[in-house]
Amino acid sequence: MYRIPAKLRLFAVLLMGIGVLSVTYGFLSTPKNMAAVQAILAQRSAGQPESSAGVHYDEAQLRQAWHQMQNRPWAAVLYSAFFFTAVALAVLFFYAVQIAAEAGWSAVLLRLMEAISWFVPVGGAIILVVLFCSAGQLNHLYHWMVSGVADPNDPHYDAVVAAKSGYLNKPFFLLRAVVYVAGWTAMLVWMQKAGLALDRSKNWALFRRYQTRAVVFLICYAITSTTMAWDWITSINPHWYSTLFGWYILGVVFPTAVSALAIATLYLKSKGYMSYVNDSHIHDLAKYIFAFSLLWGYLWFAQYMLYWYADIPEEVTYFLSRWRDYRIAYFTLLVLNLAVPTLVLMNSDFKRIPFLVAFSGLSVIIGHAVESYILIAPEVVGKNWHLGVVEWGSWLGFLGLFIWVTFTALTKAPLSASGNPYWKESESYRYG
Amino acid sequence: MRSDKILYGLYDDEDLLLSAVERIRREGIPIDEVYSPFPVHGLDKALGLQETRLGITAFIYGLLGLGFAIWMTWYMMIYDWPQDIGGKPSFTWGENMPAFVPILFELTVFCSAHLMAVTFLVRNAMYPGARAANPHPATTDDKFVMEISVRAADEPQVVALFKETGALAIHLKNPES
Repeated sequence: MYRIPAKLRLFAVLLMGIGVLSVTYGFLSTPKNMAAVQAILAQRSAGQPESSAGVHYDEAQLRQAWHQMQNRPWAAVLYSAFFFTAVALAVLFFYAVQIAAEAGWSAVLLRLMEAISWFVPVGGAIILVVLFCSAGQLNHLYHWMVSGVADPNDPHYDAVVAAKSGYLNKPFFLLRAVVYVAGWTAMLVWMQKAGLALDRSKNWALFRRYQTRAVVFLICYAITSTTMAWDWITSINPHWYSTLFGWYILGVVFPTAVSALAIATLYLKSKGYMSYVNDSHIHDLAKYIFAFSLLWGYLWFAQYMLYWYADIPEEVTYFLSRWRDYRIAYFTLLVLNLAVPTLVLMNSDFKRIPFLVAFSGLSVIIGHAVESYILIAPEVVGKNWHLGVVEWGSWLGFLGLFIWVTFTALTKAPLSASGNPYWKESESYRYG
Repeated sequence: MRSDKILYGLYDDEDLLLSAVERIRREGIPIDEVYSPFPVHGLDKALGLQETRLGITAFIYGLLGLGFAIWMTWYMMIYDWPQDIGGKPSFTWGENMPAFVPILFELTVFCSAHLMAVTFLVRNAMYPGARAANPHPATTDDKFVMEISVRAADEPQVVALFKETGALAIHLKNPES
């Protein structure tokens, strides 16, 4: 059994404190009225070259800027919650794959994967809170939620959104969100129960039951991971189309999930737990980080190149807003998420060096955290973005929560899934 | 060391073969060669073979392919017959680069893989018409053969080791014959 060291608990609580403080600061520091917005915009253009100084804003522009400034703390919470929840969910997906495929190498890591997956209900609940607030018009994250958007006689009428209102309407959207989070949580409990039953009696029929549950989850994940990406991310920009977005989100969260798993494993190993994890297991995790970072790079480029080549106005707006307002951050992603993991982990021997695995894992985690922000922010915050105290503070707060939930869940079950029929094979696993 | 005889041990299981290789090397007897119908996982480590340098050549060939692809796309699409790519007639290689990435990628992989395979064949003298070097035809089917050249004095020890480690059959060959 694992016990959380007091220091780690304190660290997690500190991070959560930072998160709460910075999000509170974010909400308190948003401008209260249009005059304040005008003052901020005037101050900003004062630092600009002559041509853009003294630009006059009409009321609609001012209102839009105000909404974007109000969205800033909400976007900070949503991207962090989405990032950690989707990563925990991808760990659950990885876990189910191991069981469904009867993977021999990974049985020693199953309990850790279960523990990380327990962030899904916690982070999912926070996402639900944000979504319900959006539906209640407390923020302006999803502009298709504005009333009258599907009514031809309303000034807010939007033909594109109206055409999608069969799918994009508040009740169905919220129902789906609740079903996702509740369903994933129920399946996590359901699979974990079947896994724990193996510890009590080593019965092959029990393993088959475990496997069936994993397969059922995988089918549900295949559908919900895509629709979840449409609902929570793409619907922020309902005028834009991407046919590979679900895949793209998987490309974002999967290498991050394996990186988180590898770093947690290395941490536990350094504290003397999980002594049965050898460098072959680390090698395999590093291979996943390497391979799926390349998959991410492939999907990123495939999406970019097709839009660049076709040059269709409704498609390129997505990249134009990122190119104009987020250029440096957006292209730093290629370094952190693609160049670092592929170049560092290309050498077979480097995949066994804990420092290099943790280093590229950290690069992938930070890179995809920034990316999650840029998936959401250009549409809801626009030019009024900043990766500052609010955004990083919120992310660190969720990191604290993630650590706290993961390591608390780790104390609930034995660290070694020794009842698993592949335990022995995994323990003596050697690659090369 | 001049060897008098060559001994062949025939095995029919890869795990048995692996443990036999480890055992015999522990006894300090050098193994000349192991013939196998397929790559046995971990055999290179067990035999203590030198790390292959094919990876380095693959990297060099990849760079070569990348360089060739850059030159080729520039020559064909920009210099020799300038093309309007995706309605963006800039006629510079840099601004049209995204369109060339698939070609750059494919030629890198193509050159890396093919030239590496060719290097492997040349390095192992596996040119067309080369005579098979395996001592026993079963090594192309489902058997494994370990080859050890010994001096006459060591022969009984090696034979005993072969028997102990579960060899199916032991053959003896005099180099002179």
